[in-house]
Amino acid sequence: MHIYEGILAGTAHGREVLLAGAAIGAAGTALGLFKLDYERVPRAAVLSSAFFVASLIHVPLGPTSEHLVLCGLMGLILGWAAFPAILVALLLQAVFFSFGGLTTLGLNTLIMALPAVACYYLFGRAVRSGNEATVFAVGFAAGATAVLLGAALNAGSLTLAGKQFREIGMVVAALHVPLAGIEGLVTGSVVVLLRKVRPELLDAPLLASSGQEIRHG
Amino acid sequence: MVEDLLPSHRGIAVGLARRWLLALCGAMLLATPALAHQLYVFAHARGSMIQGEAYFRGKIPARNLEVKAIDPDGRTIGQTSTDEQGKFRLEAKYRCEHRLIVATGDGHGAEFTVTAAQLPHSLPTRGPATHDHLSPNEGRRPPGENQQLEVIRAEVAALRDELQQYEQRTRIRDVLGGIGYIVGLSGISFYFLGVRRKRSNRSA
Repeated sequence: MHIYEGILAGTAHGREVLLAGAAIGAAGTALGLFKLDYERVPRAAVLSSAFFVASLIHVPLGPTSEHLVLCGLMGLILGWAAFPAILVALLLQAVFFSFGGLTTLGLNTLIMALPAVACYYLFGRAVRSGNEATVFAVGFAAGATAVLLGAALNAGSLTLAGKQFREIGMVVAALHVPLAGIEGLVTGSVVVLLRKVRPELLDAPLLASSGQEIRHG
Repeated sequence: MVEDLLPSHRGIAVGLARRWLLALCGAMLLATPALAHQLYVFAHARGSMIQGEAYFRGKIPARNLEVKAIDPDGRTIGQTSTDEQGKFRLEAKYRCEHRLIVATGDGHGAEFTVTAAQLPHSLPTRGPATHDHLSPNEGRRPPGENQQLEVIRAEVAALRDELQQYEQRTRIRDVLGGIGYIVGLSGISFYFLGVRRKRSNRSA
């Protein structure tokens, strides 16, 4: 779900889109850093690491392959702090694995972190529900929405950069539909698990296993 | 108390979570030489036939992709596509630099240049005059020597391929290094948060 390094730097419109993306990405990162508090630092670090490593696990899709992005989960847990977490992970991916690149870093941060923040506002409240099925459904929706929003932002910035990139944007968007399903399943399961073992990560009460009460010895 | 002897549901859930994490770590280790959408192209000429292959990181063949050959003036001088193994063959019509461009259609692409010097003199030249630094007298050499040269070229091509593979491998130390950076950065942010808290304490 990233814009390939070098594809936009070749045209004037492309460079404008890159610059605008970098500016908005920097603003989001500044806001995220401002909102980062003691509790969120380790969370951001762990999720940043997970995002960084998840890029190595690939699902072959058509002529290309995609990997889990975990943006929905990051948004639910981190809120605005998703911006710095994703920026750091993308930077390290670019340096260590040569995925993406430095010129597209700002725009790619925006493409992935903005959907994460959107998920925070859209699903942050609903994920605190006391019903396990609802929690899973909300997690699924968050994971899938983040991927689809990211794909839409990706396609949108390619279209803004010029008509010649529109086709690429469409192909990328189409490839992300199956990924959204996988991402939804993973995010849903992780959110249910978190509610059962580490509910404080989601600022939510402990979710009891269905039909059973928790005994305090 | 009986409850004390029974593991709590929370304990079971934590155990489950640990097992999940272990499984996930296992999957990550298995998937480490993973394919990525990073595409690579490699080619060499044998006679007038350019042979090459396109693959994703980790030597996963890039199947059924269009391969275009561009001359130094930017004109398309040949077109083919990769087969099921990601390999392609292209008959060179001119003795000039062939820039081979492969694109996956989603914005990922790669290119590789086959120099004019690798192509036989029998082909018509095109573009700027080609200078042969390597083999100016190739045509005048005895046939045995040409054959040896061919063998050496094939060996060098194989070596280059191997070198490229080596450079692309994602190593576990890259992964650990990246995670180390993240831990370090979180340490730095704790420092700055501490400074912020001290200041607000002082002003309060």
